[in-house]
Amino acid sequence: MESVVRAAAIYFFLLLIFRIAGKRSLSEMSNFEFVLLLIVGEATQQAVLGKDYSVTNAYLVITTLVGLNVGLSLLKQRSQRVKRLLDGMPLIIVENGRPLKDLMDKVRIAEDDVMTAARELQGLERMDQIKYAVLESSGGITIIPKNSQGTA
Amino acid sequence: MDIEQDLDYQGRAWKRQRVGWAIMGLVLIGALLGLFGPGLLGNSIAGNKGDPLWLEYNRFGRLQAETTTLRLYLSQPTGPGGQVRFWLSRDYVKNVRIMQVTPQPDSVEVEPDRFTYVILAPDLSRPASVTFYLEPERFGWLRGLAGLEGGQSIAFSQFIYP
Repeated sequence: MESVVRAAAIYFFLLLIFRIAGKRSLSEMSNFEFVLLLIVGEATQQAVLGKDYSVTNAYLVITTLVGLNVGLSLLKQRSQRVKRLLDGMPLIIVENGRPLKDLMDKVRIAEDDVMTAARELQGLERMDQIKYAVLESSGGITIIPKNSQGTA
Repeated sequence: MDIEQDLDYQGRAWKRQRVGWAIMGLVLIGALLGLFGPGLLGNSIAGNKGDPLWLEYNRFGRLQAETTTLRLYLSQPTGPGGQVRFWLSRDYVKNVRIMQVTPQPDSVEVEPDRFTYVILAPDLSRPASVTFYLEPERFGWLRGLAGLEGGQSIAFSQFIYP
């Protein structure tokens, strides 16, 4: 029983802490954030497994984690409210080439971040070539360019 | 664009997020002060300094972590040849794993409700201290009783986090 409780406690704690930290946390990883994520994994592993390194414990922990994930995905599918709560919502941060500063500040995104995504994803050069930039609920930025006729 | 965006909801989510950050900050400050283990708030004393027996212990501990210590200060012989006999309640000992006792007691006697430890301390001009390094095996409140044989006993309690 302890294995299941431990795994579930850690699952929900991680879910909560990453929701609190915000969408962008650890989504576009720098080298440092990558190392940070490894350390989080290491700390989590010890708390989840305790001192029980048996195969059975690993089975129980993995089954609990995957089971919870499946369960929550079913819940999300059925309830829009749960989905919003757990995943958040997409947010338009650039509209017709105009950065929505207030919203960008709230989600801790700079214009540089948007331009980086614009260059990487669409090969765009300037902000005014962007029709929409959206901060997705996954934490990534997607770019919708203005069509070639609308801009130049 | 076909996108589900709700700025009112988003605003409430950001507020909740800020509250979450504040709680995270408070937890960290609490941790630095010793709310989750040894530290300023976590270190405690039971009994009076100068009495034949008093204790230093951690008010907060963590399950299966070797961060909990219990230190007894003894300043009165209870037997011949500088023998000091002191005990810990069995209820307490069954909930912790004693990883180490420093100095190692001469002997341990198991009685129905207590474990009696015997050390030799011929010179008690300064109190002898015996430290138990403990690993709690149960979470929640642990209540313990320590005492000198034939003398005073002191109650203490610790909160063990899961």
